[in-house]
Amino acid sequence: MPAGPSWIADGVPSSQAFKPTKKDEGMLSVALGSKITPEGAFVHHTQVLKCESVGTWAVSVAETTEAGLRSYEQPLDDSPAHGFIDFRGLGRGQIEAKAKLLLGKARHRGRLYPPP
Amino acid sequence: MMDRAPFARLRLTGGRFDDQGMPVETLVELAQYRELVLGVARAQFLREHPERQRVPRGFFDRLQLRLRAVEDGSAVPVLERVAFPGTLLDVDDDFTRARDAIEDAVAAAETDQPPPNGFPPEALVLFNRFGQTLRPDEAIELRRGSAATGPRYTADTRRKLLLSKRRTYQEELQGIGWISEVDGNGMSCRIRLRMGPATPVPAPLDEVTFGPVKDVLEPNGEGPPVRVSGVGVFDSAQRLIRFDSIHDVAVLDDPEDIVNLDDRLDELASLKAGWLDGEGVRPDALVIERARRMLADLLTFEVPRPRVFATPEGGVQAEWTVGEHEISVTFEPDGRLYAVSVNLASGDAEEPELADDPAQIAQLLRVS
Repeated sequence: MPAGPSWIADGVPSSQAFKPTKKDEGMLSVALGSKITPEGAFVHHTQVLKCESVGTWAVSVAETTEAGLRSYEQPLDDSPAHGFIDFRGLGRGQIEAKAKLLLGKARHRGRLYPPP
Repeated sequence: MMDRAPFARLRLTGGRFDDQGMPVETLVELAQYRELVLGVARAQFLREHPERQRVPRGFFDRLQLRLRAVEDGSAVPVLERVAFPGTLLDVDDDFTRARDAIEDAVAAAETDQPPPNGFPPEALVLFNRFGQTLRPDEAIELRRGSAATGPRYTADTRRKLLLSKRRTYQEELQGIGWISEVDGNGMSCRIRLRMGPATPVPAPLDEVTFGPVKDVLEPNGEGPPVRVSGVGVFDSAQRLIRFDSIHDVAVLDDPEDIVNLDDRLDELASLKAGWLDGEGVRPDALVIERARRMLADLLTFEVPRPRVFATPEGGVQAEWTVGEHEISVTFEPDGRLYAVSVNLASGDAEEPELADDPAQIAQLLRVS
């Protein structure tokens, strides 16, 4: 997933980048690693979707499952590699906790693009 | 009549008192409680004897209090009154009446009522010393004799009592600031607190604090930032007017941390609406200031430095990685604090309640 400049400090993304915002309605958008590279995801996010990003971090499907979440493919017209991680039905505390678990995994993996 | 009797039990709750035992630095409250009882008793006596200008010789010696025990559960120091040698205790005398008057005044303040008419207004100033060390989430329940319950004395009720007839009150204060003037003859200085009024406030110095203060003085008050603790005097709007005493002055170990924190919060304060790809409320100015104060105060504790972010709802979120834990504290737009601590290894999570107290955040960050 991408992390905008406001959600990076000391080279580390905020845990907020790993949970849905209000407009996401419980479904955190992601780019599927099986369909796009980290660089491709970065370029798509910034140049096609015209959103801000300072880099691409990633979690695996297994890590998402380990955090008690499900992930789905959801190709869109302008984002063929689109998918989402499902946070629907969870309370605030659960969402916050699972976002931190995902952050931990992503940090362990390190930023994928641009490479450190 | 007997030679000793239970006088009061002060049940200390919240914050530091929730652990076993009683923090040594709070023992001063027991001594201050006795001073308060003595002071109220004196004021009451002089009111009842207008022909006298002083209390009788030996008046204060009649109140001999001993700490008999600290009961289990929350810290409950038991104060026992002992008769002066060769005498026996009255069930009801100047000091039991003073004790009860204090309880009644605190009970009134709890319900936003003024002190009872019988409470001597000139004695209200004495509440300055008692409860001065209480943190926002702490209380002293005043139980007379062997009573099972009593009114709760907090920093808030203390402030209400003091301001009921006065315009200022004292409170313990710790903060970061800069020294702008030092007067060696008058043994005083002026301090501009980072989160205080823009104009430096006066502060007295003594033999211990003079040296450290002199060492950090530079032209235009641009010396290194210092951590200062002492007793401040505040007005009814909770604005600092002056220091009445300084306990300690010490140069900050890492002054650049303050600069980095302020720069980051200035960055967040400059965000525009829609900062998050079209979403995102501009961070609330009051929230930014609250985060600025608390996170700077947190720098005085031995805890990691936070990563600080805006939230889409207009709040500020501080995050830490401490060992296996990811921890966040969110300064919400409505003024509350919301905290989450997750153990990445076990997946265990908690959402502890936090008061407006950096010491509590520091405690949260001390995970093994």
